[in-house]
Amino acid sequence: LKIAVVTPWFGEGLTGGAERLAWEIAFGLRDRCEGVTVFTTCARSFADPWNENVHSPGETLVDGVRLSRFLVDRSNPRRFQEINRKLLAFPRSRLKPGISILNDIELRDFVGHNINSTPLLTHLARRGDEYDAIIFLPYLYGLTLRGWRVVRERAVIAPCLHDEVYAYLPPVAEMMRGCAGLLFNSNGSYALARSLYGPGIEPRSAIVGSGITWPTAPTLEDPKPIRGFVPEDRRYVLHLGRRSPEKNTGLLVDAFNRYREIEPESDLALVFAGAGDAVQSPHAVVLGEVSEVQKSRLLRGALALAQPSVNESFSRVMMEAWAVGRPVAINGNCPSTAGPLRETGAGWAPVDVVDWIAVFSAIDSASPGELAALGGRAQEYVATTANWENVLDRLASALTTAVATNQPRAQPIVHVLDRAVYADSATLLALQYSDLLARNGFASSVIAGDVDDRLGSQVRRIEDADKEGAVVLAYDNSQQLKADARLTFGEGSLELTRSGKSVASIPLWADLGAWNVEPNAEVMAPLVDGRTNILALGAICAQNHVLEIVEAFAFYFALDFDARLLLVGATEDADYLTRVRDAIERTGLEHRVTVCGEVSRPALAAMYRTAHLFVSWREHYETGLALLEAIAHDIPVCALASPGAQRILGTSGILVRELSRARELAALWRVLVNDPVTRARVIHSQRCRPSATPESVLAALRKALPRAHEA
Amino acid sequence: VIERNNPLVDVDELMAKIHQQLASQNSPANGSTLEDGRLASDATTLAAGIENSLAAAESFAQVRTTLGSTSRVLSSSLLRSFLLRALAFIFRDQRNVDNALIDALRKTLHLNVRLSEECEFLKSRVAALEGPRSEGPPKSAN
Repeated sequence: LKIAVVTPWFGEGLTGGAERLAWEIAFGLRDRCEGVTVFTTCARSFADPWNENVHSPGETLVDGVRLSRFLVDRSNPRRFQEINRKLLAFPRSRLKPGISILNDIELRDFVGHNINSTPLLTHLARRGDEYDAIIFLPYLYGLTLRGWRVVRERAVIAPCLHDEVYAYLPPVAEMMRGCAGLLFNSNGSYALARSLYGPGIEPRSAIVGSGITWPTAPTLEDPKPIRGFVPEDRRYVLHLGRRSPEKNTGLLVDAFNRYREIEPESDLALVFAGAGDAVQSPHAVVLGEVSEVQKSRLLRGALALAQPSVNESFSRVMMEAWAVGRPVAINGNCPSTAGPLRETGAGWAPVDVVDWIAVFSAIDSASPGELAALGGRAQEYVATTANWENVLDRLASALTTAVATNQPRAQPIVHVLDRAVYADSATLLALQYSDLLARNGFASSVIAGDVDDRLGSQVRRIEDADKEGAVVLAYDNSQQLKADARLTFGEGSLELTRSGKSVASIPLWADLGAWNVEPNAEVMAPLVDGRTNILALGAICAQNHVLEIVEAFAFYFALDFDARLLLVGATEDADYLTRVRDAIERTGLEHRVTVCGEVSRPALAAMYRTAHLFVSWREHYETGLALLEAIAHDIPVCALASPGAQRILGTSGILVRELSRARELAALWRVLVNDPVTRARVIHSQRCRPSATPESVLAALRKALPRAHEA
Repeated sequence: VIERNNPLVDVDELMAKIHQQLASQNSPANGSTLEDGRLASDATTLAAGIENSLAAAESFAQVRTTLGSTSRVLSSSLLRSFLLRALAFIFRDQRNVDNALIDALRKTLHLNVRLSEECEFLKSRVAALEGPRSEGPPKSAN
């Protein structure tokens, strides 16, 4: 592999998380790849002016890694700061995927007056195809937001993502959906990305983790004070890193001041090592930036480490503290640090100032042995997850997958339908299998006798298609062409047959790549108003028990006044639709039940992304794609226990009987929406449900299409 | 009602939660503001408070006819008159906006009061409809 790394600032002395990661990736991959080149700017660091060229442009070789520096663009820092202030002032509680924070001009200026380098992008456009993969990090700077577009097929983003306002901006979402691969440094960071950008990112994502350099043991002959502070002589809680509102250090100082007011006799100190804002506390010690050896000495001498930031994708200092056996207090609202803490139990996860005061009290009153035992719980975890060798192996493997090229094979495959109908199960199935085969090198296409106008770009008419020499895979009962193989399906079961004999069972699989679409903003905006969204997907007909769903919702409404029901699907029976509308009117729920009819994929994506509960009371399923898609979107599924639902859900979701007991079913919905424990269990069961992989589906398809296999 | 297909979900525990939900819905003390008439009393108190605030805002949104303490330093009545007219002219648009907003808020307030009264009425109807049912199933004619 030939790899390039693109990052705004690069240097050994840079201490930011993303800067350290860029450094470690470049030098770590050096020995695992054919060559590594770093493309960066001439700017010095995040803390220095972004449009000031400090380093000289040009190429140098640094310890086996090619380093190319380019001049930064001139920008208007005042305009950037103006927009940035607006972004930072946006209330966190209002942050929701799809929400509009900036207008188009502000967005353009935010990216345009960010740190950018047009010469660098020009170079990438000219020479980008010399690399197998180009890693951009982190996600929120102009260089990344503009650069990925230039080398879209090779762009792999290592976003260092955390839950902050920038992650909700449309150019960021577009990048996450459009790049070739995504590398996450923690489970929490990936979970956040999945919730923000949808399950469509899953096929291109890899959780590679991140590593740390083990803190060096300080030499005994070096007891010199660190700017007047002797760690070995004091009892203190340590904060490492930048001090700023984004890092939430104000909360830490506030809590510590209050604790010391409650306990004036305490000798506990709060020590800050790192650059940043002034600290308003008579009990705090501010050391400024420290060397690696000093940092190690401070960590070993501390009673515990405090990490109050919620803007972390992987907290290096947390891992370093655990590596030397110190417990850590992290912010319970930060998924990326709360996850590992929950796993190890090596510390505390306060969420507000009262909790933090309690943590200071716990640290102050604990014995050194108790604190060492607490911190020691995570040492094994750190040794396995934060080991650079393991991380780099995972990274190299993920890059190989992301850039794997598949040369088109000669043997074409055509998927034949009688009729290609919009949002129809058979059509969706044919399209997703065709896409899967096409992504894996086959010349695959879908053709049909009759094509819905809305599918004109995806399906061709049989008479217009080139079928010469193609393997013909017919869907269900299609007799349009002589079929080499036939795919039959029903009740969540898919069989490939040849000459009437079953040759393979195709694992049930929903292509999440098909959901890598931008949710329709107009549909999404009203659905993120804080109300409960209940989604029922399926044709409006008696077999799908839509009337019973409306009746249950009428009872549900009495339990949850802030609820709405979305009925999505084609009308198969106009009389039945009239009865549904009458029922809605009779119960006075016209404003809370929406009969949406058929909707586009972006509109459905908006509904999936905002639904709190997925209800399906269908008696029959053709393919079960809707259930699989709801599961993929982490929506609790409540389905009628029909044979198809039983087969598809297996041991996950919730299956119900006796639809006449509408009040109890409504109460069940309420529990699934409102009870966090039940909800978490149901979602967890759905995530753990054994699911097919693209590889297993492809293997089954190949088995059944011998000529394609030979090709 | 619920299948035991999901080993992570204890159906008995789930049924208990469902019955708890239903019981809280039926209970007169379920914490809902609709149940104990608190909405009506809260609405009356709040409406009075909001009406007071609107009246205060309205009085300040009128054209100034005096200059208050400033007038003591302005000896000339001509100057005072000019200043008042200038203020009236400068803040003419603002006054229109203020008055429109006050009017809109007052209409919203009246609508809310009516809605809360409707809620009370519907609540009493629901209670009347549910009353006999909670006493048990109807007795057989035999």
